[in-house]
Amino acid sequence: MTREIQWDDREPIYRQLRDRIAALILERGAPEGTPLPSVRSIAEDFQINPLTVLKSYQALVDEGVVEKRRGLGMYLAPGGQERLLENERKRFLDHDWPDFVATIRRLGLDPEALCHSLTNHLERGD
Amino acid sequence: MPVLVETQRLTKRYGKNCVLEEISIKIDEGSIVGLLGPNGAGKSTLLKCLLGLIPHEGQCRILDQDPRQHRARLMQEVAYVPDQSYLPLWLTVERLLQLVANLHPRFSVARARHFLEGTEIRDSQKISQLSKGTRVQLHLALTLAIDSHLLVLDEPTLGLDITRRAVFWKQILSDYCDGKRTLIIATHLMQEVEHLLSHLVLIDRGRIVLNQPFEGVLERYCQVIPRPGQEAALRALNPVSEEQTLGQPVFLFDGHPKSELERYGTLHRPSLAEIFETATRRRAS
Repeated sequence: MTREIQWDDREPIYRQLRDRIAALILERGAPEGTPLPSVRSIAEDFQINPLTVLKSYQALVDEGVVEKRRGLGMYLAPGGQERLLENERKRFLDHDWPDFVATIRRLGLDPEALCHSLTNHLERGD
Repeated sequence: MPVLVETQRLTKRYGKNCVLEEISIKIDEGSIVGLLGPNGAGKSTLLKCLLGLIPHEGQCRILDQDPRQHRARLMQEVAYVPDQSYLPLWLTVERLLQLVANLHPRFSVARARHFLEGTEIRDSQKISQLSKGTRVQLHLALTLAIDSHLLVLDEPTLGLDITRRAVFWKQILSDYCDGKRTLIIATHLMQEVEHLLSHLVLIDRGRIVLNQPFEGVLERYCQVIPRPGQEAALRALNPVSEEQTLGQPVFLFDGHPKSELERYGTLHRPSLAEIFETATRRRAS
């Protein structure tokens, strides 16, 4: 299947692809040593240059999440999942959360009602 | 990476009319090059010069050979899809496959059949009975079935519908590009190829407007939507263009540090079309 992808023009494509791969790893809850999709298959699916895909993987290698095995491809590194979760949590709190706070302030939303709604959502699991 | 194609001051004139003016480019092995520009920019002419199909002034080397002198030898390693298909209409698909197999030492019938799988094309059909889009598909299948080092595509997806286009690019990435083979795509449909490219050559009215690895292009150009009250500050930094969108100015910068621009607004990646427009406008002024 060829996926129709809308890229966000505020961030480089390799960054966005890195985020997609990261999301995939977190959603699947894969054990360490799990093989990841090949550079070529991702390039085909998203119709992008293989070097861009390689750059996305390299970012995850640099974070210690992915391991490059020569001639074999990309694998989830030992402890990669935990490291990724830690990185993503930090990134959310440092980058995304201040924006949420700014929006909440701008719209004059009631923090307590939001907290209540959030707790409900999390408990229902949606 | 070794250089696969190199031209120096390549110039092409038809009488007094200069259609290519001092084109100097270098293409590394393994790259995916976009030769982009509007209709009539000189893209097809440049490709024909590179392939040794027409005479020109200046230097040109492909795979370390002069394409005018060693065209036959070169054609064993180079595959080319012109912007108009010249398949012999009176042949059946099967006869055409045989013909190409007899003509080209690096053509594989089995590979051609692999590319024809999943299409509506059947062996017994005459080329004249195929629709325009199907003819393009057949031509592309024949070309991809050649084990070449360099593939030159001139407006390859013209005549293909959206679905077939996607299938085509997917095939190119899966079956052709392996990091060693080199691909040159000439097209005016910038949006369609922009994420595939590793090198960009923009031409306009016979001249190069931009010639650079794609990554460098993305680092160079930056679009900024100013935060309230920051328009004047951004204007003072000499943007290369200013457009109005939704009643708000949008600035385009060339080579300005992003860390500085970030202070005044949100940064966006401009489309190739926007970069092209700005680059050509600056050349004209």
